[in-house]
Amino acid sequence: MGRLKGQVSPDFVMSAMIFSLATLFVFFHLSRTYYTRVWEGTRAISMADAQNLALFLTSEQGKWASNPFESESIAFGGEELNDTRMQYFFGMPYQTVQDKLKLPKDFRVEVWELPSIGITSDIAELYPNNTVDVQFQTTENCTLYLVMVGTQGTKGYAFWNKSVGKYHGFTWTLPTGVYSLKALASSGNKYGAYEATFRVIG
Amino acid sequence: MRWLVAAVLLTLVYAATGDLICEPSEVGNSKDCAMIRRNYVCDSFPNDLPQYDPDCNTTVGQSCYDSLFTYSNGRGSSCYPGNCTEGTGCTTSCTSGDQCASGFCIGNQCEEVCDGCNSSSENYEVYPFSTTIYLGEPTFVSFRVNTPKGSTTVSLSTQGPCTLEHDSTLDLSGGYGVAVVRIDDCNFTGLGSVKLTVNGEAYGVVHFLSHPALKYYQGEMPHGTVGYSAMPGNLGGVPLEVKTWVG
Repeated sequence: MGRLKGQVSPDFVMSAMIFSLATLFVFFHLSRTYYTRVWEGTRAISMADAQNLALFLTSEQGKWASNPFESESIAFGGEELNDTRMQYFFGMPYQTVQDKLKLPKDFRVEVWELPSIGITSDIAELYPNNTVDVQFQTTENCTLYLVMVGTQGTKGYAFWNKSVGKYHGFTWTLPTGVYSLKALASSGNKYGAYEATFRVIG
Repeated sequence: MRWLVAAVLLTLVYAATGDLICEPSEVGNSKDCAMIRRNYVCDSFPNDLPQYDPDCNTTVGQSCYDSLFTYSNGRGSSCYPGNCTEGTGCTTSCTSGDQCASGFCIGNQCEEVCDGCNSSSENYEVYPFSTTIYLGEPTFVSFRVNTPKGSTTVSLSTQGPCTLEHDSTLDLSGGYGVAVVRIDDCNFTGLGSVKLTVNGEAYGVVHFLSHPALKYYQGEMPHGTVGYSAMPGNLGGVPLEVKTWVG
């Protein structure tokens, strides 16, 4: 049986299909690999820039002077740097930092104060009656603030309390419910945070 | 001639948009510059400097909270939960909540929390649903609003410290709804309360905690895929983490 004019052979069709599939596979494989690597490369460079920025902002031993206009960078580990000074120095113009670091892209820098007061408690998971005694201990003398929200069915309850010292005891009479407790310890510039949940089934 | 016009225009543009940071010679003399680009009003310059931000020279009309209400070679104390008077200090005397940084005037005294701020009406009950700790980024508290009237939509209003945002109405389909209040821009450490009022007739309260641990930020978050590099440090005995976001 001969072929009509203009008709392609089945072998040619099969070959073309296999070739197309192979081409598509290679294309997608290469594009994905290439894109991923380019993205990873860009990301790595950006992260390096960021690391450099963070390093610049936290640890460069630049010239510190009590007059900030004579200072070139943040003094780290030497001079006392309180919260106000810190804000001042991190408040250097965006463009200045960008220029100093030759950072071409936008960035956002955040300075977070880390918690430095430890809080422990004897809060249990379950309280079988409505009278709840809880003891907290903080690693230093501080003010301990507590807030709580309890829910039971369609109702909810809010509580707060505070205590000063290192050992903090509270006695509450709580309705039945599930309670979410949050605590904050504060002493000067230092703070600590704590969260717990418990049930009251009395 | 055209060069001259261009030079004049450039000078005018610079005069209008030029560097706002004070030069040393301008400190204390010029009110057109600030000590730092982000103007912290009275609260952000080294304590031991004899100079001061000229913008802080007056306290009248300033929001005293988290700012110096008097400059006396150092930081002023926080006015929370009260408010400041004109250069004389902080007062907790009040006649209404908007005179208090905490938002609550109880018995003519600013109070940090709103005790007993619960009142149900014939149609609505407002209960606390969740609480939070504000550390520097927006956070949320929520309330459950019950109604025996079935499906209805109610109006909401809030009272408290910080910047509070919420939907203006709440759909109570099925007899209840959960109102979410966004909390941001808190500038105090300790206790605060958010009071939610429904249709002006029923209200409830959630107490929350605040400690703005985000001490400084600069720049907007880059668009698209972002990541951050974090580096712990210690400045003046205060443990810090510098987090830098890049796109």
